[in-house]
Amino acid sequence: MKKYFLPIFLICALLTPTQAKQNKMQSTVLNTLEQELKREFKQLKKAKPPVYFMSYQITELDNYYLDATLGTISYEKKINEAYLDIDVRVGSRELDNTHKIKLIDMDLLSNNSNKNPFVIKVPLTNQAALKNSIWLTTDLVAKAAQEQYLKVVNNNKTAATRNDNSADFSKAPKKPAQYIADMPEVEINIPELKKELESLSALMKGYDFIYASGIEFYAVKETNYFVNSEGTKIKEPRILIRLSYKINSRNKDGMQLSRTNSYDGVTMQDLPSEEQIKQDILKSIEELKQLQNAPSADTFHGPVILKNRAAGVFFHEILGHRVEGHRQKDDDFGQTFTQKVGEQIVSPIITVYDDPTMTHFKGVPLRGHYLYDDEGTPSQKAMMVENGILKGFLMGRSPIKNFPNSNGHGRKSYGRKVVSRMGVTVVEAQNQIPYDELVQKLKEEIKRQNKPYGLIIDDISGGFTNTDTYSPQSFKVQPLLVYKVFPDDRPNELIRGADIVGTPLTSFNKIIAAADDNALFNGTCGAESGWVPVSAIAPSLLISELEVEKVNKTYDNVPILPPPSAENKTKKEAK
Amino acid sequence: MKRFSIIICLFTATNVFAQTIKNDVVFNAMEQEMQRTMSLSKTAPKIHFAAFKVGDYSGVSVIAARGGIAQEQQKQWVNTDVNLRVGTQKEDSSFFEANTLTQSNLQDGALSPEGIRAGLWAAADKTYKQALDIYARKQGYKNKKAQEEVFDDFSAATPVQDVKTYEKTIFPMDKFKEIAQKTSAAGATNELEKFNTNIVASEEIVYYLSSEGAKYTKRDLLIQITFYAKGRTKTGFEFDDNKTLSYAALKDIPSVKKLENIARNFAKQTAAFTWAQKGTAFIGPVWLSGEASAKMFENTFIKNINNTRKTIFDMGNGNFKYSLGEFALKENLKVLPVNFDVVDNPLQDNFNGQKMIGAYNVDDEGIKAQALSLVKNGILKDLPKTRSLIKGQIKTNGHAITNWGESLYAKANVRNLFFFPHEITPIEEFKQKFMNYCKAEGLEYCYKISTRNIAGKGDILTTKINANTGEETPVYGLNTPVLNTRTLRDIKFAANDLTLYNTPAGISYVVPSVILSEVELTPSQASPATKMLVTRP
Repeated sequence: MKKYFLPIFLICALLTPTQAKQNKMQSTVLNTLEQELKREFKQLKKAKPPVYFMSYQITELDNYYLDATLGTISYEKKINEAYLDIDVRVGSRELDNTHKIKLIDMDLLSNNSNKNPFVIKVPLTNQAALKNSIWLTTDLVAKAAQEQYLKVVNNNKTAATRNDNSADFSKAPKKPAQYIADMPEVEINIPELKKELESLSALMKGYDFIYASGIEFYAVKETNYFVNSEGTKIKEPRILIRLSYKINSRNKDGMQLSRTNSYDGVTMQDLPSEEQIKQDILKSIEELKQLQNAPSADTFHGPVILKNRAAGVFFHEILGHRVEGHRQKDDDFGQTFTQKVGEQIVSPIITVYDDPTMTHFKGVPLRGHYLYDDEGTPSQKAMMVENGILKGFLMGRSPIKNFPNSNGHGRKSYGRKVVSRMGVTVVEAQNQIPYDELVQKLKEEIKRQNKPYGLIIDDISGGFTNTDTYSPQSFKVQPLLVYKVFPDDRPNELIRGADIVGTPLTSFNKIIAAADDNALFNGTCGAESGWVPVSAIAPSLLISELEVEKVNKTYDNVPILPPPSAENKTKKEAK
Repeated sequence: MKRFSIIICLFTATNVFAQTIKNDVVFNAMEQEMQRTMSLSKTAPKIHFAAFKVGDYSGVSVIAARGGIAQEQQKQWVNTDVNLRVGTQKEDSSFFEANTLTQSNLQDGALSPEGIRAGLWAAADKTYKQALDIYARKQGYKNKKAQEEVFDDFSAATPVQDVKTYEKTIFPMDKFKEIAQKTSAAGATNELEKFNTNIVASEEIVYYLSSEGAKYTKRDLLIQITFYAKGRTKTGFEFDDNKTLSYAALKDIPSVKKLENIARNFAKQTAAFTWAQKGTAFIGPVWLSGEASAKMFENTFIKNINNTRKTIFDMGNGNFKYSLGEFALKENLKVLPVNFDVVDNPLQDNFNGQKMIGAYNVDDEGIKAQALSLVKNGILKDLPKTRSLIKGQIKTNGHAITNWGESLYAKANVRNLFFFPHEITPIEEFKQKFMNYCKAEGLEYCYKISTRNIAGKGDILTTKINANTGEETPVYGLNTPVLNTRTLRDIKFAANDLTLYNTPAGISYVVPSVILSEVELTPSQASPATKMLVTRP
């Protein structure tokens, strides 16, 4: 889509100025936040009980959405807004109001929720109005924090002790972060973009097995303003552009079938050409047609290749979420890896780290990249697993035993409270081999295990993992394209309706080989601190044993009449 | 947010939101899909009626707080909906509720023949299967429960053809932003903690086609400006109030100056409660002025005159969504004082030069709208009716309203009501009349309520009026009981200040200020907030 860059008069600057200019440019919003924080903190630290830390964060969002279906624009929306999140900590770093209440009975007033009930929309164009909003909200947040602190103090006396008694908040950094950058410039030719989406969505017309389809464009310009009482002062802009399509069908047995694809960038030039997207759509249509006629999956356990992007999602879901720092501290989580630092938890050929400082992979921008996390800590590479051995956790400013400091992974979306999250998760493997050789190794493994077939998980939509103690410590990953691979020369066979299930400790140790085809999955991850953009990079992996179960399906029958756009085609076929 | 305004330049945005399509193109697509839909049923129960709707929607909104813009939004989309009945007119798949089965199957669409047909096709497929299911369940239910009275589910009617061409409205975002900024600044007094202005403008151009040949277009345009004020009394009791102005055309919106004055006056009235006294329990006459009177009529009369036909329901433990309106069984009974008439006239589109947003020409069953005398001398004489018959009914009176996207079948509704008292008191003399009546009841003071929040939903702001001196004192912390149809018969006096109110739900009503003979006000149980921890910036 490079042609959008043409500076003709119809082009509108969607997402503005360029080049980060650290510590040089002033920000009125940031200064207003800083002034009000200083004024409020001066008085609140004398309150009873006293406030010892405060931060103000404004998330300024400038969103644009454009959808097309069957050759016509079907939805368009633009919305500009800004949200204020306030963190007020009462007590001390050792014990403050954020300390999790240990539930003795079902105490509905314990306020352990990760939602911020006081998030509000604020006006940024008027300093007096902004200050007024900050003042009113600070009062609500501070009073709630004081109330919660009193509950925490009492709960600490009356409830049983927890395994990890680390402090609630890490020490102030020696040098608080100061960073101010302005929004880079991005230009989008909206009329051209509309033509493009209409043309691409028209490709999905005329197929009797496509029941719904569409192409979506989404651009967000997000500016994160952050100040705290330790002197941190940040204005970090972020741009995310995504173009995606979805093509849906349904089988006669009620199973929902779909093919989707998405492309990410921070400028329009990052998106692939129209021709490339066209080819991808046509390929997806063909895959969907094949899926309609594909046999339904049986339950299975045996050797599996997780293709690169699928492997990235697999590690994100199954390992990544389990090494988030806050889950090691809270006894309500399964703490699969808490006591295993220094032990082998994954096959020794695997190394995993999370590095949000990375900006690109093979020229493609990484959605999970950021410079400062939502606690104002600079992002940094965090080693999770080195040669199969657990080295550490993803940390925000909530310390855990032996890990007292943040490594810049405290993240959230507006209206939520920070927990540690992934950014750019990278899976590296030793002794990588060409993909074809990996497939040969799969065939050998099928024979060795005397299985009738193995599987290749080619594409994956997402997944989830249970991390609390109430549920089994299991995971489920939802593939979109799965092929049966036979030990002989028979061609691969597409199947539908398979979910990968398992438990992490067992599954990770069964990785036996990796291909040299590292690839990127850009996505959005939802957890208790909201939806955050993430990336995962991994090679294709051969796993000696994974379990597959049948998907849950509906009983919705296929439409009685063919889609209108395929009506003539159906009539011709009938003749 | 100046930078934000360039997300798409106005040039582009204007083009987008002005996108139009010729009526013929839309109706041709609808007709083609209608033919296919009617071919769906080859065996009984067959489709005996189908109606399609295509809605071309666009909307904008702006929120401003104390002079600064906090949010601005523009969007547009197309949706399609299908209303479909299987069986016969005598007995079909309508008016039977079973869990969520009767939810409408609204589908996304796009303004092209393919986009329209795809949306209608998907909606028709789901609605047809759903109608078959409802019909079968209804038959099954009737095998186990006897029906006392049975009326035809649908009746014959002359289909209307009323196709007009509408140009899409270009909403002036810059103007809306100016209004929001200036009015929210005008209302930002020192006494009030918050003063916001919220502007929401929406337009839906509707294309309707039925299997009987009804074919019409209509435009629903609504612009609402809401002021929200929040403060606290000197004793820490938090109070808030809002005021909504509704308009059916851009040209009806008053000048910025005038709106600033309205905002300022509203802020001043609300801020007056900063020095209010705490109210004590009271039983006696209450004066409902302005919007308080309108809200009383809405809660007591309008909500009870809708849904005149009984729906059979087999919901298990589910909630029954469409209960019968209380007035459905009160024809020829006294529902208002004898000096009141009530008329619903959807054809009258303005009152004293102001747009009535409830006006319509064709109802949602494709029937021409008509004026309806509901109450004469306090006696309920007629009810809003649809093509689904009720006792004594031969045909519809054009009052079928479908909340497209919610209910599968149209329900009887009123939209444009006029409450006419025969005996009226000039508004200038109304206060004296109220004081005299209060004294006659042996009371030192009585209460006047002017705000919308009178529905038993929490604390209201009232004014205490001394029966002897007429002195007015703001009072906080009183609750009204939930008002019911009995309240209507307690109307003692009405003023000559007939005023139009357009509600956010798209209903218009013209009402006078009234004095109710007896209302019970109870003190609030809420605790006041503690002082602000930090002084105001």
